[in-house]
Amino acid sequence: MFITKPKPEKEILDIVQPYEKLFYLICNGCNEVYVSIKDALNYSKILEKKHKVTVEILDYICNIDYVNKYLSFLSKEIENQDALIIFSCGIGVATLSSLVSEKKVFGICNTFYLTGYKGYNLPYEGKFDCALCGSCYLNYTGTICPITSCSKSLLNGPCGGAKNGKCEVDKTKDCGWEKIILKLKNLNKLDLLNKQIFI
Amino acid sequence: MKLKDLFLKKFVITSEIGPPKGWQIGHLIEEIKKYLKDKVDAINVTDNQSSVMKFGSLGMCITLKQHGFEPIYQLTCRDRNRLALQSDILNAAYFGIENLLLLTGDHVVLGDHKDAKPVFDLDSVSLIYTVKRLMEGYDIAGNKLEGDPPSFCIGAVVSPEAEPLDPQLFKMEKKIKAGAEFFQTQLIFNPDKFIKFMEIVRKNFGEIPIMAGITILKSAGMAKFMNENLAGVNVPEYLIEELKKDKEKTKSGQTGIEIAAKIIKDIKSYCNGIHIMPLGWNDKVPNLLNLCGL
Repeated sequence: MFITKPKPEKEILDIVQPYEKLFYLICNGCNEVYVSIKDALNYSKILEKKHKVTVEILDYICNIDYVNKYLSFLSKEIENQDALIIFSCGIGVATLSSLVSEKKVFGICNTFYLTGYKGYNLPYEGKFDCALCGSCYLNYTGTICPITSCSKSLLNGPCGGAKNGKCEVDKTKDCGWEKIILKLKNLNKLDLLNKQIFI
Repeated sequence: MKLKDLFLKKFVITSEIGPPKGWQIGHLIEEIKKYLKDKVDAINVTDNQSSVMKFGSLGMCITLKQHGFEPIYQLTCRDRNRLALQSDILNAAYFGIENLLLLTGDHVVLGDHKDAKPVFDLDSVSLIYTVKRLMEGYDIAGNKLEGDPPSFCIGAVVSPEAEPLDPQLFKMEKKIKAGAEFFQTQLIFNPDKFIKFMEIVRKNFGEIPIMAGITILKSAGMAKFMNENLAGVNVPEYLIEELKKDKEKTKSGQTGIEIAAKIIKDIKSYCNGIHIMPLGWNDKVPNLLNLCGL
């Protein structure tokens, strides 16, 4: 799952400072991208302090056909604006920008990957994760993923940086490789890993 | 000279050097000449140790070689992908560097460039295998190298006092299978644990040379800090008490030297050498070696 998080106010206010009239489009989000409408509307208030802002909330800003039609209804309105401000993931900003090439388009958000929230993992606080690496190691690692459970995504065992079973990167995180090895040892299956070097 | 040949002849002593954060290394070379010349068999040069950006390990190794020292070139997988690593290893071969120490490397969040992109394209095991392939005349993608293949002695690391120990032994076995020819250990403070570890090593992995990691403790605070933050390190309470006893003696380095000498004496007959990590106290190394008769 992806999540959008507004950039620091100063960064946005600096970049939109030359433009008086702003057309502010907010994406409703989707099942892949979480967008906080509350944060988005809050940002509108920030922009309104120094700018004239028109706000619209849209479904799927990344849906190019739909957004194209939508913009055609608003073409006159948009023509009068100095810039378009988008609250969506990076794909939404790029999609919309491609449709209004003559206008300045700015994105409000940083988009990042929310670790762990794939599949129906939300109720389990992202206990299991998949990095979509395209080369599944689960059959060799006691079904514990080395890509997502090891901070360095190592393939051939622990780095030696774990202290008391916790990762050197995050002391609240278990060392994925220690879990893998202990599990395989209990299953008497360590030979699955020992036989080969993964590159 | 390759360390593997040296192990056949003697108890090997190496010391570690961390290059400075800057390009002028003259003073460090002078320091090494003054304190380490004829005292140690080889000098191990760290590669952006603890993820802190420093003068490069390769440049330092080449300079050491030019000054008549035997360098051990440390390479980690944190900062370079497989192209850069292989390329640097070929550079090392050209400059006559014969010993490598191959590690995964600390994560960038532990260092002074926390937003750096951590690479880890390879890990220590696959890097060892990569060097083995280069020595067979092929790169890791299977392409043939031009000319003679390079020749190195491949070193790796292991943490004998880590808990649990099983993951360490697992990885050690993989490193040996991949081509590791000697091991340097994490710091040793508990000779009993180390001796037990060596018994397991000899039983499972035969006579592979092991060099015990030794440091000179600078203060009780340093010992506590290492206990809390350094993986695989466990300074026992009685040593911390000893460091606290006579503050002036500890400050002068004498307490740390005596502790290290005692550890070396206890473990010497079980391993093939020691690797000293003086953490800047290069001037204390001769005293330490004197005290334990090396």
